[in-house]
Amino acid sequence: MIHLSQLSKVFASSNGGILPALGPLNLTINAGEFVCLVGPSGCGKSTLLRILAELDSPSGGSFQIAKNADRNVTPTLVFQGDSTFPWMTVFENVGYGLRMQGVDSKDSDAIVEQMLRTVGLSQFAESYPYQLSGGMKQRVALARAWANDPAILLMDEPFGALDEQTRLSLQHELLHIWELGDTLKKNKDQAKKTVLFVTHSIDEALVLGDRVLVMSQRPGLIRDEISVPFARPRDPITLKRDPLYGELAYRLWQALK
Amino acid sequence: MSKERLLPFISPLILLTIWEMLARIGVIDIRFFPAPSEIFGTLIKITQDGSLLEATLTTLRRMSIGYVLAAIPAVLLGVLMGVNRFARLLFAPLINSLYPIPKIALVPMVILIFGISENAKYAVVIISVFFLVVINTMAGVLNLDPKYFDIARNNGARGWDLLWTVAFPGSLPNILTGLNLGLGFALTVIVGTELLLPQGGLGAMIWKSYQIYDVPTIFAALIVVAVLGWGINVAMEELERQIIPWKALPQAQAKNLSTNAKPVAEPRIRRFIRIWWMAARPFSFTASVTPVVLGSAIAAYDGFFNLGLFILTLVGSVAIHAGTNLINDYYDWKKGTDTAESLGPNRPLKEGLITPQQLFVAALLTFALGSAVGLYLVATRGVFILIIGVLSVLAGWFYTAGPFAFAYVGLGEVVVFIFMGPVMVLGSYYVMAQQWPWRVVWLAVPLGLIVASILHANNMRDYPDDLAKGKRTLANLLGRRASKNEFLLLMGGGFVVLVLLVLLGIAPWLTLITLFELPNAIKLIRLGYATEAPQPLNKLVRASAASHKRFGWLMIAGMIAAWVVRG
Ligand SMILES: Nc1ncnc2c1ncn2[C@@H]1O[C@H](COP(=O)(O)OP(=O)(O)O)[C@@H](O)[C@H]1O
Ligand SMILES: [Mg+2]
Repeated sequence: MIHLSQLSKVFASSNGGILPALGPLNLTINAGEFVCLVGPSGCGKSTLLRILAELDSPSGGSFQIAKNADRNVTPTLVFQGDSTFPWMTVFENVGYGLRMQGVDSKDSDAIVEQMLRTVGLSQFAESYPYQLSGGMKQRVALARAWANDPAILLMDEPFGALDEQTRLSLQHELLHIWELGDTLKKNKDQAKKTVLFVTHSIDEALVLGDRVLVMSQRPGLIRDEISVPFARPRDPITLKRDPLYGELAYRLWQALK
Repeated sequence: MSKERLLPFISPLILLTIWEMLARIGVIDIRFFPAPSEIFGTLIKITQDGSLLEATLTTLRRMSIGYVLAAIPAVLLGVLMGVNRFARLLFAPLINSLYPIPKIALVPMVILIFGISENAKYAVVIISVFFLVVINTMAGVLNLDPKYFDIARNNGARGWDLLWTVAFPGSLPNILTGLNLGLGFALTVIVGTELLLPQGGLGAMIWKSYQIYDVPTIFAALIVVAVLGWGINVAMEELERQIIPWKALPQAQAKNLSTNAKPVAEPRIRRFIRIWWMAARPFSFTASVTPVVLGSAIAAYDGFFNLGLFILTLVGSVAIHAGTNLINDYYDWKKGTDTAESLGPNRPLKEGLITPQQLFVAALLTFALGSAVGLYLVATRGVFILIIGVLSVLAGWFYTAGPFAFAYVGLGEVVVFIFMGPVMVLGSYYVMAQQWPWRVVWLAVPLGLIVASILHANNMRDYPDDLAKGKRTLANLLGRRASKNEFLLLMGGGFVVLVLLVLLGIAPWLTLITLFELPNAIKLIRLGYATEAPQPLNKLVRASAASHKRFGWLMIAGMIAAWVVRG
């Protein structure tokens, strides 16, 4: 569970003043929930994720993340834009988190291979990022985050740069992984991951989320919240024929206006 | 050769031809500009009488010794200043103010300090190279996109990890630019210094030829300097290409705009090293490198250190272990083909980067290298090494094979303790010291206990599996409860024995720095008591291995420190 209370962030602006970027936010995300976050660009979405990933600290308020005994509790963040290390091969990039956490190389190799198969990059294991297209690099970043198998997954417009087909298949894979709880599909009784997913696509938010949060212009506040009641497992394509889908999409557009 | 490759040679050739003609018909004064043919003749003459070679080697020696002495600390300091604000604020003013001084102008100062000696020449090179490399390295780290550090932190990297996996590799292109500039600069400066202090070397050759108006020799020496400078540049560029394979070549980038373009070929040498490094997994054997280094460190402490023997021992044991890795993978692969399921743990093999035949040949070659080194040591350092070697091979063999396989009858820990502890330490000690005092055996006991604790943790984890398979290990012979005590005995015992050895005056007190690892060890022992679930126990295995590694290196550091202190 993630709990924010009065969380806010201000930056120093370039002309010497202050720039309120975010909040104050009050928000609770339940364990195992899939929450999507939409909002105009510059409203502080990335800032929020960076704070939750402990890469930045809040200027006011606080947040708590419930501890879980035997899972990786630091949330893994899928960064906006390219986040591969240019000096590592695809294989090394994907195994990076595992290596830093001290996972045995035999175990981690097996996990990395499985993740590469999942994102369809097995043939590119020994390539360097400069040899890949933007979409392929994004898949490397996803594979790395999934390989970590964190209890909380923060995703910052992860599918923004992808073509429609790849996006669809990766959305599918993400849902699958989330529903299983365990990236590696080994532990059947693993609790579901908590996902906070930033997107600029209303369609994507409705296809993936249990709940969609709409943020206002900077400084970002939660302006509206829509729960998405579609049954799971979901099929991203047939979902769109549901009359409720149009209704929800319409409401989201209204909220974003 | 294609037309384009010929083109660059045309203008110098034309120049030389015109020069030769003008010299022959007497248009230019041959006292100042001797004909190219004459210069060439001189070049051959001084090559044959050996004077040119000697001068070149002298210059190269001065250049490279000074360069290495400057470059290594410069890179380290540069990286440190890049990542650490405090270090930057502390050193930057000094470095920035000293950097612009023309280094050749420092020669008089250097002579005042060092006298007219070889050291003076090294000092000039060191000063010249150091600042250049520091500044380039620091700039490289500072120019790195901070997002890489964020990504690394989010993936669990801390402290040194950030340095080794982000700061250093990320700034390597800049570091190499600095190193390349530095080497060229080192050549310029050393030749200049030799002009001022003409005692051997190409600069001195130029200066002395000038004093006797031997102009052709001046030109000949200048040609050699130019060729050296050019060679340095080519070599450094090739080095850069080999060790920075992730830098896109311009044409490669253009080609790869389409999604599924084929990757550009990696430089050959780099690819070779990377693949075989991956295949042999030499790092998986720190557990056996540590005893070798410890044995050598004890020998050093006792006054028997010999660098050549040390390197040989290390190469020999790493080769044997890499060979073991390779041959195991090969047989795994052979078994795997029967079941068509697993291809074994060898990644390059699985990914088709190497063939099984290559793997087999590589294993044989590595074994051959290891055996050659081993036999050389036996021949020169005595039969005792042969005995230790044969015993180790037998122990390795009967570890899992035969009717009385140690690992299957609860003797695994004992055998590992004996061989990865006292035997290996004593063996490498003997190579240098030519004797085998009991003291060394005692000194190896802590390390042996802790290495045995790794295996014991492993057996604690596999407790139910081994029971089911009928594999008897100390863990399942003793039962859960007692096996936890045994872990305490092994892991904690290592520290207790070490303290005892220090109290008894057997181990130098500086080895007590291993106690830095004690809090960690206590955590592990607690973990061992707290859990019986396979997942946390798996963590215990890995953490014990890491703990052993740190303990070993701390002990080695302590021995070396004691050796240095003793002098
Ligand atoms: N390090 C920073 N320093 C100053 N301003 C920043 C910094 N990071 C972000 N901002 C500002 O904060 C606001 C929110 O940024 P961000 O969280 O990236 O928005 P979003 O991800 O919603 O597009 C923007 O106006 C941005 O310019
Ligand atoms: Mg953003």
